[in-house]
This record gives sequence, C-alpha cells and structure tokens, in this order.
Amino acid sequence: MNTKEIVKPAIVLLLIAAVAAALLGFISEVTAAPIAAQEQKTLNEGMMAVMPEASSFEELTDAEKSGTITAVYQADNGGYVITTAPGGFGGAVNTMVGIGADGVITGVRVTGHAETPGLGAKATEPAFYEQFTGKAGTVSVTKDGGEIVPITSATITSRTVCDGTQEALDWVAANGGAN
Amino acid sequence: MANPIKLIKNGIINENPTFVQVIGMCPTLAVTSSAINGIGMGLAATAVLVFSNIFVSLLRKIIPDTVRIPCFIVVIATFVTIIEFVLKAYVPTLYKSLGLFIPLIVVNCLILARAEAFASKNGPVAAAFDGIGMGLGFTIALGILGLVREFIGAGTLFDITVLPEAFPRTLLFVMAPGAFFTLACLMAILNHFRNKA
Repeated sequence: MNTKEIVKPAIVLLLIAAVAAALLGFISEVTAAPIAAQEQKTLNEGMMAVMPEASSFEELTDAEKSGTITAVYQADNGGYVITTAPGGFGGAVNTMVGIGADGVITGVRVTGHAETPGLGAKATEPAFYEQFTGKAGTVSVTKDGGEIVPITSATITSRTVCDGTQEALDWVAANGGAN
Repeated sequence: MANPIKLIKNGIINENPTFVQVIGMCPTLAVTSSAINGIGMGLAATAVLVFSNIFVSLLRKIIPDTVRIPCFIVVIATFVTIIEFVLKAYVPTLYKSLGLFIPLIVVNCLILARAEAFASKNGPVAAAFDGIGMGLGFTIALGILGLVREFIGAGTLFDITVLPEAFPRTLLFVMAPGAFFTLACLMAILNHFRNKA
C-alpha cells in the first residue's frame, strides 16, 4: 500500500468532519438564544401553574438543597416553588411544587418523567395532581395512611410524587422563615 | 434516471423499511406507544434521511471507499444534531415527547443502509426521492403501530378517548411486549395479502 492510499482518505475524512463541525457550531450559535428562551418559558409557565397567585419568581441560588431538591424559587407573594427529582419507576420524576407562605400546597405538577405510558404517565393528569392542592404538613398515598388516591396500577409513581412533594414541604418547614 | 413516483412507491410498499426490510427496529419498537410519537419519530427520521441521502450522493465521488462508513456517519450525525437543535428551539412540545429518541436516529440502521445501498450509487435527485419514499414508509409503519397500540392499550387515538371508560384497556400493549405483538400481527396480515397477490 503506498502512502497516497493512506493519506487521501484521511484528508477527505478530516475535511468532511471539519465542515460538519463548523456547520454544527454555527447552528448551535443560532439556536442557543431560542432554546434558552423556550426553557425559561416552560419553567415560568410551570411556576405560574403551581402558584397562580404569584407574578414573579426569583431563584434562591444559595438555598440549602436537601434530598432530591434541584432548585428553590421565591415567589413575590412570599411563597416558594421547589423543583425535586425523586426516583420513580423509570428514572427521576421531575416534580414542581408550589407552597404558599402559610405552608399550604398551591399546586403540584410533574414536569418530566420516564414512567410507563398509560400507567405512571397519568401523574401528569389533573385527576391526580390536583389532589395535592390545599394539603399541608405531610402527604402520602392512601396505602401509606395518607389522603392521596394513587393512580391505578402505578402506586410507585404516585408514591414518588408524594415523596418529592414531601421534600418540598419539609424544606419550607425548615427554611421557610429564614428568607 | 429512475422514476420519482416509482422510488416513493418502492419505499412505502415494495421495500417498506419496517414491514419488508425489517430494519430500524429500535425506534420502531420503542417510540410507538402512541400514534403521535410514532409519526413524530417517523417524520424526524425522514428529514434526516432525505438530507443525509442528498449529501452522501453529492459526496459519493470524493469519498474514498475505505473510509465511506465513517464519512456517512459524520453526515448523518450532523443532520441529527441540527434537527435536535431546531426542534428544541422551535417545536419544544415535539422535542419533549421524542426527547431521548432523537440522538438514536444516528444509529437507526435504516439511514446508514440507504446511504450505503442507494445514495452512494445514485444521483442526488434520485437519492432525495429514495429518502422521501423510505422515510414515508417508515413514518406510515410507525404511525399504524402507534395507532393500534394506543387504541388497544390506552383506549385513545391521538390522545382523544374513543373507547368508553368501562371498556377494559390492555395496558400490555403500550408497554414493550405490546410492540412485538403488534408488529408481528401487522406483518402477518401484510404477508398474507402479499402472498395472495
């Protein structure tokens, strides 16, 4: 095999990879702003849904995050929006919890999950998540002595959402007065 | 040059990637738990397939034989990443439901198979039509699988409830085993008609 047969393919591959990299860099640059805006919009819509009475939210970046809590936001009406990611049946179940200044839940939403379609995935439906609104102190499924009616055939997912919500309630109980 | 209509028909019917060639099974089985997911995945794969076919065809004379597979993969991965960025930026709801499966388009052997078997041997126009045909065949197959599984498993079609609440849902069909059952039954039905013809 002569040198030409080795060098030429390598140069062609290098050129194709270089063009692809340049193109991707350009696309990434162009879409960076819209992607960030979309993520912010999704986050804001979620926070408005779990705490309809507030109008603006500010992330408490120095908040002490226990358990699976991923972020804590302070609402302008004194309440908190807390995002948690407790482990469910098919990975983390991202749960967003709104808790008023009085410690009462104003709303719970599942914002991201990989639960079974048709079973655990029903955690994103109002019939399930609206049960949390108005609860305070402790939340758990009926099987564990609580008041939340679990989704049929998806007790693990239901329990997971309760766990995430409980972490948020505990956080507010422990840190709520400090801010 | 081959007839475009013939190429498209070939992709949808004669050489349907799912039911006849039985390639690209990973996304086929994984995402078809609902009709909309199946069609969304199909259309995203179609977009990648058309662009990768065109570019592989354009580059076919300058790509040396020895490094053709890495070159094809670079082309395919580039378009998958572009589609991922664009969906994320402008169609976030579709991105959310396809999520994890978009990067998997890279390893969908349908796309590499068409690059290797068709695009690297034909002109860009024919390659584009081959991509459209194969992509539509894939989309239709995934759509049908999704429809059947969603109907039997969740009692809905495109998220609209069609079966009465009292009618029992066979949840197995929206889970992994249901994908195999549905695919097997559909292929058996199609083979039955094919053998008759």
